[in-house]
Amino acid sequence: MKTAIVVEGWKMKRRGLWWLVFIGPFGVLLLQYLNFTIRYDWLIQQHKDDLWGGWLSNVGFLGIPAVLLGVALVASQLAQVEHQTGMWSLLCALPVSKRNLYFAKWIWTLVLILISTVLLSVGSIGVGALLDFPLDELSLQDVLLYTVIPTLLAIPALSLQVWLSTVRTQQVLPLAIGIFGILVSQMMIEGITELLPWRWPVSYMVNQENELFLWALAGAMLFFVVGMGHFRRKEVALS
Amino acid sequence: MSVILQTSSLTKKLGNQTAVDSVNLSVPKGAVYGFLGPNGAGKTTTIRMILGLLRPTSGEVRIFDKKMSKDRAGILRRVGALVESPSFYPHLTGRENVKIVQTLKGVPASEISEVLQLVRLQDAADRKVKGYSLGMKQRLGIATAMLGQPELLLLDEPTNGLDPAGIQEIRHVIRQLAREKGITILVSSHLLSEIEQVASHIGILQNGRLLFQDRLESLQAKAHETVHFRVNQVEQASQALRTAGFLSHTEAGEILLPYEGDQVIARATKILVQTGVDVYGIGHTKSTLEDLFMNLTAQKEHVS
Repeated sequence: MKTAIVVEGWKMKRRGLWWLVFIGPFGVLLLQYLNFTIRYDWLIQQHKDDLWGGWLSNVGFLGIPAVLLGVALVASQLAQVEHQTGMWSLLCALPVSKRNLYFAKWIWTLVLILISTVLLSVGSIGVGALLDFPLDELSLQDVLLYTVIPTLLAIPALSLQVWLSTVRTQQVLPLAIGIFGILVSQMMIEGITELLPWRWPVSYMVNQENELFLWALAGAMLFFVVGMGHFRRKEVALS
Repeated sequence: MSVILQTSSLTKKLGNQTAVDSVNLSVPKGAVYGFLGPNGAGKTTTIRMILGLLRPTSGEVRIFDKKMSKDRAGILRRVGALVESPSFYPHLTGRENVKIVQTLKGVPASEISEVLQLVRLQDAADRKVKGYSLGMKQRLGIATAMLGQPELLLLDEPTNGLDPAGIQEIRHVIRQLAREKGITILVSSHLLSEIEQVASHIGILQNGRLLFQDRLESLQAKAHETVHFRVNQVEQASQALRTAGFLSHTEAGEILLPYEGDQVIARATKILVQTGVDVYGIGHTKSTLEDLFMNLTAQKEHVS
């Protein structure tokens, strides 16, 4: 298991994936920074009771689709290197279990997204300070609520994307499903949207219902187990 | 001689087509087994089933006398494989690619340089694979297959797409591995000429069926030599030769005799001259293994 994870890390060398990890949070923070400088008076007026809360929730609402898009892109990029090169054949003819190969893809997708999220958390405090919000009023709970928790609730969507990307040779469908999921989860269609895993990070931010964590845990496990099972049973055809 | 690799009634159906049909391969220890057949005969499908990449519809694969379906990892630890044309991770160097396989196989890192040297890639090892030629990638594939000192090597069309020099190179490597390391090798090809120089055994696959499987010599024994005579009076000449006890026949205006040594040519010529037939030319041809291969595969095509 360890070797599969280590090797997966080596494969990311020189692929520009790390850029994605940095550019995501940087872009979100930059856009919100511009938002707050351009509309400073109005936004400050809006959030004058809770400046940090206002700032962080804005970061969060832009951060969630960015994280979900990142999840789809990273999962796809990690799987594509084998799809494009026919390396699945070589890897699957080695004495390594396919379970480990799959787990390595999954854990790296998660690790990269978590790194992005931590950068977003830290950066949101930094940029908030830059905007002169009083640091003694900063609530770390809010930082978690608007950055880390949405990412944790994105793990079901992540497990789904890793599944789709590893079993599909062509990445069009996994990416299309990911983007569609993100778009639909921005709208609220009663009875449908809540069922989509892409909605869950936003749902929690809005409602803060703790039972959502149970749903997310169940969803993440379900997609992970089904995805891994599918990958293991799947024949490695010619690419 | 013990059998290293055996398939029994190995069958793969893809849709309603039978890609591989009850194939019973038997590869003895130490053999260089040439697995031949035209493109689309099912060679790759068979090899992929042997490696567990595809699941057989029925039948089973035994390697080192163990069932592949039962002990996949244990068997694969002792097997090296080159499947399709591996393109490797283009953004990594040759050495980095080998290192990935070495780590996943769990063999000592010291083997990286050894296998690179074996296929003479040590000088190009630190260049990105993106810039490798097809032949270099193919050799890199053999290098990764050689990690962990496998007892059985499966090479699927290792010479595919290579120029004559590249083919020569691969052939050299195969011969070296078989002779010096005593590795059992199964190598597939659609060209008999490419492997008849290195193979000890031949299996011929056509339309998913194994038409022939034996030592190379028994295939060679099936090849025959013929003497051709170009004469002015074919009928008269043929008559005379048959009277003298030759098994002659006529084809394309020439008289053909089975070659059984030089005295056949001498005697037949004498008879023709004595009969008063003018001899314009005498030829001697040997049907190659390639012809035989074509015959074997063409006949079956006709039947089915």
